Amino acid sequence: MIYFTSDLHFYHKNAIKYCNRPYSSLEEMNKGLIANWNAKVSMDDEVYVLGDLVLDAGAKEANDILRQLNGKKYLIRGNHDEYVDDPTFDVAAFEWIKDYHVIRDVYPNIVLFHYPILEWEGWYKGNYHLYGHTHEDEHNGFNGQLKHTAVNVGVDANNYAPISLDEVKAIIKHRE
Amino acid sequence: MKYFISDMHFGHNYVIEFSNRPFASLEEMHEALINNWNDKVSEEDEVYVLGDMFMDVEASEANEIVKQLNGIKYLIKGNHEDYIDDPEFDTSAFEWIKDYHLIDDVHPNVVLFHYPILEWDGWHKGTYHLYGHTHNTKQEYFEKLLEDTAVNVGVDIHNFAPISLDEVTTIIKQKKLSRIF
Repeated sequence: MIYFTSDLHFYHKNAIKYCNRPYSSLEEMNKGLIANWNAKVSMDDEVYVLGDLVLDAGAKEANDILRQLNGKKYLIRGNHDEYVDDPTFDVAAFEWIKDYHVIRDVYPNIVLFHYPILEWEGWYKGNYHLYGHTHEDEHNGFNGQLKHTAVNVGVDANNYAPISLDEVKAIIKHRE
Repeated sequence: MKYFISDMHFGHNYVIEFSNRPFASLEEMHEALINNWNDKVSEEDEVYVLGDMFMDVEASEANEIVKQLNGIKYLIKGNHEDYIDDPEFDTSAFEWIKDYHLIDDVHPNVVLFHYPILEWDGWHKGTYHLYGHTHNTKQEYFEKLLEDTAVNVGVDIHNFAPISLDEVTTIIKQKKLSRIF
């Protein structure tokens, strides 16, 4: 199964306040996000992280977090993923690190990007678009500005856990 | 000076009809696009191409055209950049080829991407966003939904030529003014 997630902001203390997350401390948030991930994702699953994995922490902390997360991982860079440029960061934790990616071996194809794209490749023929960055706390597609096949996979809109392709499909179907 | 351009579609016969371009033939379109580029851009200028530079061409033909264009060139990939994967294509014609880029040595910073982004890195603090992909379609719709600091640099709405960073700034100022008055 493939999963998607974004904007976990591990180590970002202010995420608790800004995003109104149900955690009382940084430690609790880090532990909670790891537990939620591993409760859904098994070792042979794939997880696409759409950016902003760690904030206010460096390569060491990122390595430490990634080591604890199940599955084969891919990273789309967000605006806070500078730790990947640190030579001590273990890039092998991800299958690849990119700015943009289109999953072409599933139908519909899925366009992955950290930021919401107004008109993505193949939007008119049903391609999905998954994004993060915005920390919207519900699935309202920017109040309907984005086509219904664009889904925010950020943890703040998805019970602080990755969501599966089936769950993405259910969200889109519900909007139709 | 930095310049920006997108969606030239060199080699793509159908684009003349699709985007209602004022050229009678592909040859005429190529000549105009090359001349317009070189009229504005000199060898020491930088040009960021925001994708869909060619379509329906052989790598050799693409090489031939890129060679005639002045300046230091960078390429953001669009959905029609398959020719760059052809081993015959001379990728060294570009300083780099990427999906996404942030120019952070100018103020405001400039986010480059082939597709229009609804909320880009730093949009709330005035960072510009330049995009293409949409040609001359639904321009009003995009202008309405996107912040004024997002600008389509496609040739179909810029007289088939690159536009400079100064021109981009002027366009943004005019959009802001037209909202006030």
